[in-house]
Order: sequence, then C-alpha cells, then structure tokens
Amino acid sequence: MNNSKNQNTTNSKFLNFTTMKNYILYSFILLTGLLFNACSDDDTPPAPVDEEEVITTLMVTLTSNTGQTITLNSQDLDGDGPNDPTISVSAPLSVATTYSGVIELLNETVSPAEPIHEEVAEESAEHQFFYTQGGNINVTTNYGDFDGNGNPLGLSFSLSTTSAGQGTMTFTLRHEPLKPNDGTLSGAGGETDLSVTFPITIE
Amino acid sequence: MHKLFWVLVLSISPFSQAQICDLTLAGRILDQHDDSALSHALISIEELNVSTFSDQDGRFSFDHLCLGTYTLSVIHAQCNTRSFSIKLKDNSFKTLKLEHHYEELNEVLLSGSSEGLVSAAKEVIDAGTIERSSNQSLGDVVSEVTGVSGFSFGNTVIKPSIHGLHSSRVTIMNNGVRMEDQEWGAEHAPNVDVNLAHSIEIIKNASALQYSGDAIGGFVILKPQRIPIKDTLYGKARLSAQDNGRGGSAHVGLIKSTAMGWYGSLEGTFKKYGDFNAPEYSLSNTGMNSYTLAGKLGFNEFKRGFELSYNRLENTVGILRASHLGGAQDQFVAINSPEPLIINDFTYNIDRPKQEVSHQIMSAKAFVKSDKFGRIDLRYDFQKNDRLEYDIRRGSDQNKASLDLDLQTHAVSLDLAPKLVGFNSLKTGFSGRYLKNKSNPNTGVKRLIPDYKRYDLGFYALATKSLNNDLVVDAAVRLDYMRIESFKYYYSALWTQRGYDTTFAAFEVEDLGTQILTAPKFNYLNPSASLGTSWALNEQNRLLMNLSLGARNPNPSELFSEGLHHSASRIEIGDLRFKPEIAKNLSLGYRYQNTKLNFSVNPFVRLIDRFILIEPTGIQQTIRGNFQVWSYRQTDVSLSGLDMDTQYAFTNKFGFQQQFSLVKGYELETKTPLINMPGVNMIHALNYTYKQIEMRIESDYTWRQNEFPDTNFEAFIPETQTIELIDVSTPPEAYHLMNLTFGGPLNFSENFNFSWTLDIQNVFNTAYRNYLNGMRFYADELGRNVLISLTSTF
Repeated sequence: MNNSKNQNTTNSKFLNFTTMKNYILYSFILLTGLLFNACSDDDTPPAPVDEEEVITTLMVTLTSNTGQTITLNSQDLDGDGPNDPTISVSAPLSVATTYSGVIELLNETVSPAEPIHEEVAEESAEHQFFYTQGGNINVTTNYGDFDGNGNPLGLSFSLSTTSAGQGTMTFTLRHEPLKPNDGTLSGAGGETDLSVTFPITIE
Repeated sequence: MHKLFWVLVLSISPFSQAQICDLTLAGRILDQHDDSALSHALISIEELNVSTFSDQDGRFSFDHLCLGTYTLSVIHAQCNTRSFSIKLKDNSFKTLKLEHHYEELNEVLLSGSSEGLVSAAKEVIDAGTIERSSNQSLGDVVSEVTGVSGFSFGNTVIKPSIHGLHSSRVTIMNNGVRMEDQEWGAEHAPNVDVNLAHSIEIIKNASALQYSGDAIGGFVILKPQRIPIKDTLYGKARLSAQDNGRGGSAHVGLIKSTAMGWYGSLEGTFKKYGDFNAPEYSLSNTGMNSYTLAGKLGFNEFKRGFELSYNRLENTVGILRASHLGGAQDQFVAINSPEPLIINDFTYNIDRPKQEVSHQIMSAKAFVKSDKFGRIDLRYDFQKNDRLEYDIRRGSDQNKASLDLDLQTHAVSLDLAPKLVGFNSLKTGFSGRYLKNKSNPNTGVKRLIPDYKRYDLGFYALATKSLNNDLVVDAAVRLDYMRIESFKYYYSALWTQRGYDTTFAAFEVEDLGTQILTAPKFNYLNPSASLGTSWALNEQNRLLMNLSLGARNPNPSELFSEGLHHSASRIEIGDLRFKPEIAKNLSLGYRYQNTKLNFSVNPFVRLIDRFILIEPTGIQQTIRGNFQVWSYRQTDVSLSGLDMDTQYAFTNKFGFQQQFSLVKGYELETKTPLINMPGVNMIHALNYTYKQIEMRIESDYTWRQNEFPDTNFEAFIPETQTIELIDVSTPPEAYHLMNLTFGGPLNFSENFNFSWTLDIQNVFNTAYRNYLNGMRFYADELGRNVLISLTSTF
C-alpha cells in the first residue's frame, strides 16, 4: 500500500483508489466493532407474561331443593402446557331431583385469581354455555340467565334428574356464537373457549 | 504484494506470448438514440481477455493486435451489453452504438459487480411482468416461474416456495438487504413491495453464497432500477383496479439525476382491498391495506459513489374469520362444512383476527472502483420489523394484540471484487449481523417466540473463470458463525418431560412453579460451498451443472415453540437439541435455443440431512377441549424433480409456451412423503399480437398431490358423544384455471408513454382449493377477477 508514490506517477487515480479503499476498510472495522459493542447491553431477563385470558378452572355448583351441594371441578394450571386438567365430581346426583346450577370460571395463573365469569357476564351477548349429556343418563337443563336480547347465556341454569344411570355431562362455552341459535353446538358455531366433560352418576 | 500481483498478471496475460502483431483497433462508443458519446463503457476483446474503458468522448483503442476476427463486448452502466464481431485486416476505426434505454436496465449499479454464478439455475422476472403484477404480492409474482409456488395463508399472505421449500429456507434479498422479518412462520408474508423492484431473480439452489449460506431452498433477489448518470428527471405511475376485493393499487415513482452523478428518488405505493370472494361466497375479513414509501439519495461518479436509502412498508391484513378456531371439535365442524361457517356481507373493514406489520429498512452504502484493481463495496443496513397479531379475545383484552414482536437487525458488509486477468469475476466479502428480538409481555398471552439476540459472522469467496470460449466454471465457498442467546419461560412440566432438566440444566435461571425461566445459548459454525459449470456445446445447445452444499440453523420457532399456535389451532413443540440442516444439491440444466424454439429442462436432486419437519404426535387435553400436538423432528430427506420450459414462435406475432414442474419429497428411512409438497403443475399459453395489442390465453392445471403424510387424528365430539376422525391431511382435488390477458400501448403524447392491461383471472369462476394454502380447510380460493391497469412512464 505504501508504493502509492510510485503508482502516482503512472496513474494519479490510483492514489484516490488507495485512499478511498483505506477509508472503506477502516470504516468497516469501526462499524463492526461498534455493532458488536453496542450489542452487549443489558442481560436482564424479560418479565414473565401474566396470562390474562386463560381459564384455568371451571367450577359448577349444583344445589338441590333439599339443600344438597355437589361441585364439579376442572383445573388446568398450565393452560396449553403438557399437564392434563384434573377433573373431580364431589358426589353422585340423586334421582328425581332438581338442582340449581351456577358456573364459576377462574384464571388461577394470577394471584388473586381472576373471576373470568364476570367478563363473560359483561359480554353476555357474545357468549353462551351449552350442556350436553352422554351415556346412560337422562337429565333436563334449562337456562337461568339471559343476555340483553333475551337469548340464553347459561352461567346459571337448572338441572333435573329422573332415573338412575351413569354417563357424562359436557359444559361448553362458545365465544361469538350465532345468537339466537337452535340450542345445538353445531347450530351455534363460534369458537370454543371451554369444553369440559365430567363423569356423572345418578343414584 | 504488488510485485506478486504483477507477476501473476504477466504470466496469465496473452501479451506475454511472443507474437509479431502490430495492428490498432480504435473507435467510439455512441448512444444509438442521439449519437452522444458514452464514456466509461468497458470494451473487451473476448478472445484476448483484454479490456479498456472509453474516455469522455467515448473513444477507445487497442494496440498490438494480430490479423483476425475479434468479438468485442461493450458494457455500459446504462445500456444493454452488446457484442460486435470485427474482422481486422488493417488499422481500423469503428463506431459502435449502444441502446441507451432506461426502461430496460436491470442491474443495480451499487450492489456489486459480479452477480450470481453462471451455473446457478437462475430465472429472471422482468420489469414488464412486475408492472403487470403491480397489485400482487411477491409470492404471487414469483410463482409465475416454473418450480416456484406460493405457500400461502389466505389470499394476501403468500410466500415464495421453491421446489417445496420456503420460509427460513429461502433467502429474500431486497435491494441488497437480506430480509429479516420473522420469516419462519407460514402465515408471515415477506414484507416487500414488488413495485420497488425492477427485476426479480430466482435462484433455485443454494449457490448464491455471497448473500447467505443457509438458503437451502434458494433465493429471491429483488433489484431496483439503475439510475443513469445524466441530467434527467423521469418517473412512472401505475394504477390498477380489480373487481374481486373491490380495490386497487397506485404506485408513483420519481427519479432525478444529474450529469455530476448526484441522484435521488422517491417512490410510494398504496393498496386497498375489501373482502375478496370465492365463486360462491364472500371470504369474510380477508381485506388488506398496505402502503410503501421509499426514498434514496446518492452520488455515483462511476469510480466511486454512495447511497442512503429508506424504505417503509405498512401492511394490515385480515385473516379469514371462519379460520379462527378453538380446538379439535371446532376444527371438526369447520373442516366438514362445505362453506366457511362465517359469511358476512362485503366490507372494507378489517376486523380481528388480523395482522399489522411494519417493516423499515435504512441503508448506507459506498463503493470505490479502479480499472486495475476492481471494486470495494461497504454497506450498513438497519431493519426494524414490528409484527402485531390480533386474535378474537375477551373483555379488556379485546383490542390488545396477542402477539407483539419487535425484531431489529443491524448488518455491515464489505465486499471486494478484485480484477484479476483470467477470471471473469472474483469476489470476496465479510459480513456481520446483530439481531435483537423482543416479545412484548403486555399482550397477556404466553410468548410464542422468546426474546433473543443473534450474532452472525460470515465470510465468502467466489470466482468465475472461462476455460475456453465454450466452457465457464464457477466456485464459491462460505463460512458462517452464528450465536443465539435467549431468555425463555418454559412450562416446568414440559421442561422435565423433554429431559431438558438434565441435558440443559445449565440454562436454568429461575423456577417459578408452573413455569421455569431459562437462558438457552447456542453456537453454530457452518461451511457451505458451490461448484458449477456452464458449457456451450454450440450456438443452440448449452449444458449447466451445479453442485452445492448449504447449511441452515434451526430457527427460533423450531427451537423454542411450546404452546398453542392459534392460527393453526394446534399446539406446537420445538426442540432445543436440533442441529443444523445440511443440504447437498445437484442441479442440471439443458438449454436449446434457436430463432423459433426455446427449450430448457432442469432436473435436480437434493439430499437434506436433519431436515426439520413438524408432525402430529398426540392430543393435548386442555380446559378448552382437545388440541392436536405437533412436534418438530429432524430426519434425513430427499427432494427431487424437474422444471421444463418450452417457448415456440410460429411467427413473430404468434407464440406458444409451456411450463411444467414436478417435485417429489420423501423421508429417506421410512419413504414417507413430505408434507406440503406442491402438486405437479403444467401451464400452456398462446400469445398473439394483433396490431399493437398483445393477447395471451393461459391454461393452468395443477394435479392433486397424491403423496402426503397421514396426519389425521381422532377427537371426542361431546355433542354427538362420538369419536370422530379429523382429516387435516388429505389434499384437495386437481384444478384447472383459465386466464386471459390483453395489453397494449396508448399513444396520447410524445412525453408520456401509456400502456394498459386487462387481465381476467380464473375466467370460468372455478371453485377450487389449493393444497399449499393454510386456509384450504375452511374456504375456496378466489373466484373470477377482472383487473385493469394503466401504466405511464414520463
């Protein structure tokens, strides 16, 4: 590179090239240095995300006209993580009994637990619960609460049993279903926010 | 060092051979249009490997020539390269004229001298095609090329898929900048506006190592218009309107340059569409709004120059409302419904689910060039990608994004293109890159992609050399180092389930109960290489061959995913143990060309070790019901296929064209077909010119993909109390589309050039579904579309 004096006599443009070349090389080294220096800034870990919408817990409380209380509970603290929900039913249902049912939804990933059912009640027009039975049971359900347009919501309901049997009850919460609808899941469409199946014994 | 250089030059130079030859060939290079002198044209005598530049008056001369016939090639920055055959009997003076035409420039002055390798399976989309596709996305435009298809998520989110490989496996270069825009996701379209490109090159293998070593699928390279060094102000304007989506696009560009070398340009594009429609129904919430703004300022004195540029793109894209699902039972209903479950009236409103993406690029670059030593380029690029994805949410979160990512990239590169006699081109370079991804925790949704930092260092060298008149060989090598440092919250159960607690115990930072904070850090060092040749058998026949080796590191999604991917309605799990994918590729090419027939066939075989794929591995019970779990896995695969192009001109007004493309992909051990491989596609077209009006009728047939992995699963449907099969793998039926195009000039005035196009896509309003579209489970593709566009250059 220091031969430029020699080159200068033969080609004046070469000096320019060499100088420019050096500028460019130096700025590359400088830039790269800056780049990798600037990068080693703070190494503090980011905050964990407070999951705001997650429903971890479904609690259905059935109270009979005789004052018997049965709770159906499903809890899944890691949401879509690998642990399955834990499902429990406190006692078998009695034959020929009418229960009044109340549904509570909780987000227990935050403390204190967030009552999601309040949000659902606020947006009653965009939500609806569906109760589906399977197996060898025969129960009737009726909606106990309604949205502003008089369409069912289903956070409270009544449930009447007839004869003894064993089967399942599935509670499904749909977001933005068709309202009014024909009362079936397929007729309502929408997006499933919650779907829990409990084993039910009536005796 | 210089001494060594001269020794090298002298030993290679043909002048070192003793010959008694003393003829002079002198001449002038003129602009064909106005006979003005063209300075700085590079004139080479191909047979002798000597070259010189024309001076200010366009004059040049060669001394000490022998009797004989020589091929002179003349290269000028603002002209098409031309060759002249000259029979030298005596001292001669020749006037050589070049077409000095701005519309047909298709190379970038500032992006380096030696572009891709000669043996690369390269296809170019020219300015005319881009002009006609002004309303379309990059994915749409490049799928016109044989072997390239659009891998899409709806009709506005489309990414280029080369021989079935896409996303992180295809590098997109935009005006010399490697796009870093969360390209890993299938539903993440590249953030580029085709209107800013003057030509788009597609390289169907990993050979363009000056850009990257990990493009094992290939490259899409967008190049801007080259700006002439003269006093001029010119521009273009394009307007298009279409009935499907009831919208259109507008693009305006202005370029000012001076004879001193200063130049500047300003361009902008605006697009707006409402809900698109399938033949039988409206595709609710599929509209889009988009705008682009780009400006540059520079100085180009041929031997040195610099440029500053800024480019901003803002996209708001609606996602089909009926595709937003909550679990297996919703999926079952949606897939089995012949029509989308939600069909609303047409609207321009874009509601949730939607994406809002902003991408900004700021570049500064400079070059210096010498006749003797070649060229040095230095550039710095800054990119900022902000991606917001909105889902349907509840309560106070309703208007909050579910995904909020901010990716910033700083990159510097230095390229040296020394001029060594004997080599057609020689190039080497270094690059450094720093990426920082931030995932906003205020979304209230578990991060899909964690916060991470990435450091890249790269070095490459490539050379092209003519062994004789007919045979050119090229070779390239590259070495890449990458380090990734991340902070990631894992579900504790998953961390232990996968055995990370023993393998990666060193990454653990803090145990938070159901979650664990970890700090995974990885280093990768990958070599890549390419070797190829182009052999002209005679004037009509040419053979190409390229062997390449590429390596791609696992992307953040493949490493870190562990959670619900809303848009796919499935839980996706990555793997920290992944090693880089290694691809070995052999591409062959045969080209035949005469005045009437143009034929090429390009077979290829690609073996990829540790190919990363995602497949269903189970069902996850959640309180929201059952979700299918898809896990990433590495396996050795093979891809092979061929592309075939035929053009035949019956007369100069009437031509025929055929494109055929076939690709097959299998896992080597189990022979299982790979997912999302494009079906066999064949296009036939007739082109006819009547007076000045060009007409084209095109038939586009895509066979059903009969080879696919079975990823179906069973789920309990509470309503019917049954276990049902959910078919998420069977590809849709074959389809045939007819397209019509008419176009021609409009002559209003001398100063303004107008041209028009009328394009009718899917003439028969055929209802069909495309295997490569993530929305195929829920809705048909677009119905008939009538598009009118008008372009003016001035």
